[in-house]
Amino acid sequence: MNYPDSFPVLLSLRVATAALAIVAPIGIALAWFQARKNYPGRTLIDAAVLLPLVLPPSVIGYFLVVLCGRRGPIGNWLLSMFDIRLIFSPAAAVIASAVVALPMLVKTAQPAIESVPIDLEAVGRSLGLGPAAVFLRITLPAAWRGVVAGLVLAFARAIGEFGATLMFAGNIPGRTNTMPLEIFAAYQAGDDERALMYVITLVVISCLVVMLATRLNPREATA
Amino acid sequence: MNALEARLAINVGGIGGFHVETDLVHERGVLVLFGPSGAGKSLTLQALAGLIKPERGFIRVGGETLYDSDRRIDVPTHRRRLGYVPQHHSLFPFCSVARNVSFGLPRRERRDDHPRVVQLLDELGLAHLAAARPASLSGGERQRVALARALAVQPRLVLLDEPFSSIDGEGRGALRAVVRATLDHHGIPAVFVTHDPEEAIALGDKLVRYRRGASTETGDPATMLPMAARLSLHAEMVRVVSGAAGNGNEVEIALENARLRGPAAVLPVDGAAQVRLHLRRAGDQRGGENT
Amino acid sequence: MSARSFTRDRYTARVGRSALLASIILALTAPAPARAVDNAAAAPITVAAAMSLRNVMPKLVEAYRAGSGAGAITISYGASGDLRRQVEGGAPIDAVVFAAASDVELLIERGQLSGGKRVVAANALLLIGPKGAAPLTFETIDTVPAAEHIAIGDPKTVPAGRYAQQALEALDKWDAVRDRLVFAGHVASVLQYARRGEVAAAIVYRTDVIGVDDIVVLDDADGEWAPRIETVAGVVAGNQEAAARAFLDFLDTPAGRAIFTAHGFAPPPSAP
Repeated sequence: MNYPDSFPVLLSLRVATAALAIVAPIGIALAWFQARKNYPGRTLIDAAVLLPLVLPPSVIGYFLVVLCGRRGPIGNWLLSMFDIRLIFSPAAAVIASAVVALPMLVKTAQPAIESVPIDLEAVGRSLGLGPAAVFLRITLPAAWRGVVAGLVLAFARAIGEFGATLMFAGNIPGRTNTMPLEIFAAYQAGDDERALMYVITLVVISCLVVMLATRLNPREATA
Repeated sequence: MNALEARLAINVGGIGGFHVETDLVHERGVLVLFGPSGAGKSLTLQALAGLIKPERGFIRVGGETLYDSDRRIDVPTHRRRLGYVPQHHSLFPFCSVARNVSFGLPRRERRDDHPRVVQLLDELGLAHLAAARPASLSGGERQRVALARALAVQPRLVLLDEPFSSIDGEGRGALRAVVRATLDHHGIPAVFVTHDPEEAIALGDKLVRYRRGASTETGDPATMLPMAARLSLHAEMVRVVSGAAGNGNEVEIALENARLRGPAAVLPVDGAAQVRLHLRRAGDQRGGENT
Repeated sequence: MSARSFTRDRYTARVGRSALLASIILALTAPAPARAVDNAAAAPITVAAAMSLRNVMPKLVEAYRAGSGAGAITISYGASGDLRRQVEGGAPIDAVVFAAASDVELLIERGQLSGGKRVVAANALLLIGPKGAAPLTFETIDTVPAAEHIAIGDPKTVPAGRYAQQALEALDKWDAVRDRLVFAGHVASVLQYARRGEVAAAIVYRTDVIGVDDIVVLDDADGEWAPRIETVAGVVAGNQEAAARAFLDFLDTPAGRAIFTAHGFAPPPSAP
């Protein structure tokens, strides 16, 4: 059996990495904000962030197309202001992956940040660290296990994204055909061997990633 | 110029929550905030540190105003230059002892072998633990590191919130002595919260008593707390000289090789060879003599 | 993905009902073999039809059932490639009507069809664009700007896509436009891309644009290079052959042909 072309594999890795690069700062900031601040509507934001985790990918894809397609409010604005076309581009695949990966990160990192004792941060401030330094030098290092586990799980979710990607980025061989899309296309075309090769690759990557996440953040670990 | 002047009204938790009124003037040395749990000592300390916001009042440390509700001054914690040693979770678990101590130093000077770091570790008997991780230290060692870390940034006042209450028995005496010596040596004033009278007397130059959310009397610790001090007596009993007053409520015992430990104010004379202890059972009266 | 799960869900529900109905009818007809032929023709059947037939099939079924009192007919739509794979996999389908001869011929090779293929209609390709699209023809299709896209069906599963590729290869434009192509899972999707304005141009069947007014027709495929597009049907070997055959026979009658024509199809070429 020959291994089919490696473009979908590389594309999947690139898309997932780019999605992670977007999701990491937003997700960690959001996790910190939800963990430390109490404000009216906080529960609502909690629910909104978790929504992509429970909604079917077709719903997410639908919203992405409606909002960011050529005639959608955001898509139209991007096109007229910056000549940017999101739909049918690798960027669209990145966005679809980012949307589903964000809640994975927040859901895992938020409890880790919550469990950092307030006293540690108080001591940090007394030593002269401003709020940003407290977050970067104390809160994050103290919560690193949960945060890294969240990043790893977010990566796994990003690389496995299918439904929303198919709707928003489309199936364009050589441009947007990530591994999940390729598997589906190969299966539909009856090319089981091709599908199987990508299936095995995706399963191996996902296993490694999930194993790493579990080692970092075992459920029974104490704070 | 006083080390600390503060008058504060603190409200936590709205109606039905905590309310604390406090009035402090402290010249130099260690000020002890003393009282039972829930009396408002810790809240006062946190307000001094800037960790909670008082309702109104003022705080002046070394002549500089850190908080004044009338003039709308509220210096944030990270600019107050006050050291802070909490009761629990004091050390950063993700770095070594030396790294902990050097944590507050400016980036250029932040090294494990910075002269001040080395000196403080030495003074507090921690030199051999410089590379150790907080998880492997005992409670007393951890709090000593916390103090070293606070002192490393040369604060103008150190705030300690019952730092030794979770450390048991034996080590406490030595710990207190080393802490007192270090603070004296660096000449840094401190505010120390405790509910332990022995600790208050051992460490405090001045004491403020807290009762039910208000600071009340102020004075010399030993004078204010003589009755609450703990005495310990080790001796060999020679004989019982019984029935001194002819009733079953008194007993006179002759002792030898006695060592009696207690507050210096009560027992001005140290280590007598012979002690006669007169114990009378009636109300709270106890008498004693030593020779 | 949408096409497949869409047909599967309706499919499963209706197959269940069809099966129940079928067993009741069989139970009633079993003791009277003399009437077997009539009743067999009235048995409920499931027809797998290419997505390009989604507008014409309901009309054909309606007309067929009005005339002869036939049993219920369930239609399952999808890309011909998808549907072929379902039949290969043993799905309870009684007749197929595909947009390409190749899918039917593959089933014949596997011995799953009874009685060979029947060409029931012909179709043609159109180049369309969203309202307000710039003029374009098949011959100038490579002038579409690099940042824009052209939608066609996925050539691996959608006959419309295969025909589009055939046409573009015949015009020697396939390599030039490849990087601008977007593949859709079935031909209705291709049409949707154009209607939504997500692409500069799309290649669909002439029959897809009947009654659709938010697109513009840019060009017809009517040169030597244009592929011959046939709508091909076959009876699947199984229990309901008689009923299936009866329905497919109707497609060949003048009444059936008239309905096809009304929906933009051409009559099948007379040559065998």
